[in-house]
Amino acid sequence: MSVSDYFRVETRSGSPLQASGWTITPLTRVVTVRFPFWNGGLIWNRPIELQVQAADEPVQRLYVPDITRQIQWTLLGGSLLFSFLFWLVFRQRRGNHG
Amino acid sequence: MVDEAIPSTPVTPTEPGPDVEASLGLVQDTLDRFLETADVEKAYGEPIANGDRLIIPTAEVVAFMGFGVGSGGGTGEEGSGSGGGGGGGGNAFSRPVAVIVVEPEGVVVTPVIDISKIALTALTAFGFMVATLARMQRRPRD
Repeated sequence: MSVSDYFRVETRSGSPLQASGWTITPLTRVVTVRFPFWNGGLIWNRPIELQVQAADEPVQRLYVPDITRQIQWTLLGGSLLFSFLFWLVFRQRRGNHG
Repeated sequence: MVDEAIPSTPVTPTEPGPDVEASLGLVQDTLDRFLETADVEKAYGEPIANGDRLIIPTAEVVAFMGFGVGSGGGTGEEGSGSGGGGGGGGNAFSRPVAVIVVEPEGVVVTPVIDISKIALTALTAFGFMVATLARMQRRPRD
């Protein structure tokens, strides 16, 4: 048994799509988790980028941003950071008074 | 005193009954649908044609499931018995991430911003900070 049996991250490519003179290949990132103590698992599938190509032109990569998730992480990370800073300040004040 | 040997009934393997086959088929179908969550087609929706434009919705998909089976048997003075059972459950979530618009002029990726989720996260973050502050300002016991 190896780690990859329980946790795997892979990039998958879909079928190319032809539209308006463009060839579009979608890519996703798939995280698969299999729980060793439980007959079950989790699959997380999200879009990451598009490979776009016009006729006789090089392939361009278009990133698919997840703005909502980025804002969520920023808010949660900011709250943790501010809480830690508050704790440091209060600890210092108690040390000065005590 | 010698106990008489209880004649044993030879056990011959039999084909699984229709109920067992139906249950196994249901489990297999559920597993197949669960594994389909990892397909690229689940993250990129069905393209929608609008004139010379093609619109492709994208979403983040999360699915989890678990199942268990068990069986047992025993032999007693009055005979023997066996039984089995199983169960499982799961759920799937999806959330729009972006909309891709394909035009002759080019391909544009427009992100989708979910205000309700951001507001909930902001409330959670704010509540965590307030709780941390309140805990810090609580006076220490003498």
